[in-house]
Amino acid sequence: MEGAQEELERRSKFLKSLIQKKKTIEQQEQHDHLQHNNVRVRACDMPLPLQNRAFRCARDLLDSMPSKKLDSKRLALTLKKEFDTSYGPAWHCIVGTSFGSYVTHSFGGFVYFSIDKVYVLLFKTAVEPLDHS
Amino acid sequence: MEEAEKELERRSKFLNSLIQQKKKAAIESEHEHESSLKVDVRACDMPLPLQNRAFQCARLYLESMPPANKLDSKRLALALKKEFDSSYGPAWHCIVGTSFGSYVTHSVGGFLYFSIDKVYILLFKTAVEPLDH
Repeated sequence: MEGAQEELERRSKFLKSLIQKKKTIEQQEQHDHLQHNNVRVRACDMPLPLQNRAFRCARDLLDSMPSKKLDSKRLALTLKKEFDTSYGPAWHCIVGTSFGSYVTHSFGGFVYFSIDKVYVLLFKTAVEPLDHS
Repeated sequence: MEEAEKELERRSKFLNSLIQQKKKAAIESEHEHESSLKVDVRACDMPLPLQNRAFQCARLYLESMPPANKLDSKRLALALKKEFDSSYGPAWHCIVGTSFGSYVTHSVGGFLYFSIDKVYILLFKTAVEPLDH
């Protein structure tokens, strides 16, 4: 019985250790990912996969723009469409180099980040129910 | 009688002159006012009274700041959002700045994009998440 208890404790410690290692690796990967893409999260209430989706989408579009001039509206539209399509409406996106904002967003639907010298605000709200009466 | 007539004429001219000066001063002061905080509507889907409310709120805020002060985008955005949330029901969202692009989905009759002086302001309304207990 003592032997069994020791074995259980050993396994428990091993599992905890594995979980911790995985968390550390994930955090490191995220950090590396952000640095590599020159992304910095300023404020956030959003699951990690959605954040990464936004960063990748922004990175891809910025890289694809031949001119150095930022096309804020196009980036805003691209992000909004991608998120409306993938995670349901309604998403709103503001892109620029100089703005302040105050918004109300749905739970888990808010990220404010910078990529290169551009700031991006992406947030979700409820949509008006269609009223046919 | 001639003397009295002359005196009346003199007084009449004096009063006309005063009135004219006052009108001129009023016009000049109005021009100064207009030139300092000119409003341009860039895009709109909003009843006129609400538009005027937004212009007035923004104008009052900007005028209340000492001229040397840097624009506080976030505070102006908050002021507008709070005023509209409390006067016309939630949820309103406001973005203020000098350089940004945006793509949003808004409620019918709840969208205004205007510039005042050198500041651009986006104010729009969406539905709110129903409380789910």
